[in-house]
Amino acid sequence: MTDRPGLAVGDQFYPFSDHFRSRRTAPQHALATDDRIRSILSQPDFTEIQSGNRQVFWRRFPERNWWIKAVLAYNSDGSATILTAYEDTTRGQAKWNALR
Amino acid sequence: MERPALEIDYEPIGDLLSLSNGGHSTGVSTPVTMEPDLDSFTSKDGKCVALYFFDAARILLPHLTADDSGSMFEYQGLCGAYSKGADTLAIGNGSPPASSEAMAEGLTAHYDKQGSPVGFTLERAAELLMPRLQAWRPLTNAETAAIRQRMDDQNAAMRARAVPGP
Repeated sequence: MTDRPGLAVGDQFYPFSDHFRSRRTAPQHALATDDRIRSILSQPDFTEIQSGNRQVFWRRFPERNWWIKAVLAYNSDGSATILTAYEDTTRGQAKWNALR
Repeated sequence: MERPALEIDYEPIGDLLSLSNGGHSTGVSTPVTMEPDLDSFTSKDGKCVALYFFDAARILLPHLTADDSGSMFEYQGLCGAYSKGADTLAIGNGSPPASSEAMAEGLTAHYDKQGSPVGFTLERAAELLMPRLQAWRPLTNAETAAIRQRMDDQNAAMRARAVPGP
């Protein structure tokens, strides 16, 4: 467990704070590029709420025609945990089309 | 041929279950069901190496803990079947599989004719999953309200940042 400046899967995420703490290493199959996750969380194309305490941040990366989602789960203490982030273009595009 | 060990990860905060054989994936998900979110991850050769199942405890616990001998169930786009006697769980999108392949010890992935994953079968399901899924609990109304307020605050702050000031 080491503190690090970026965001990654499993980090505790305190909205609008620069305080992030590493909680676990990213699974191999998750996309965990810190800059990419940061950009998704700060400038999503849209978000959605799931099952009460999950919020999905969707962002399109047009240069690759990717939709990438970052999934946050809010804790009862006000913090949130980044559960995972990965490319989900099929679902992201379908949801985006439904919104327009 | 020895099957890879099954890796199980469960995050009760977001009710996210992950089953994996530890293999490397392309990082690209393929939805098995759109709602609820059941996603598969494949290796470069198109074989399933992991699945993510959101709302796993909320959907599965009633069936894994039922007193009857088992049940078939549907939840939005998800079709499932659980046999208590065999302790075997099958979940998928209801499409008939054209082929199946062992993914890990006790976990089989099913594919359609195009090779896309359509479902999974897990042996020893309750034995393996119950100790993990029971860590989940539904939110209270007060918790839900507080979390929604935080989400609204966060969305409002995002909008404020996105719109240039006067």
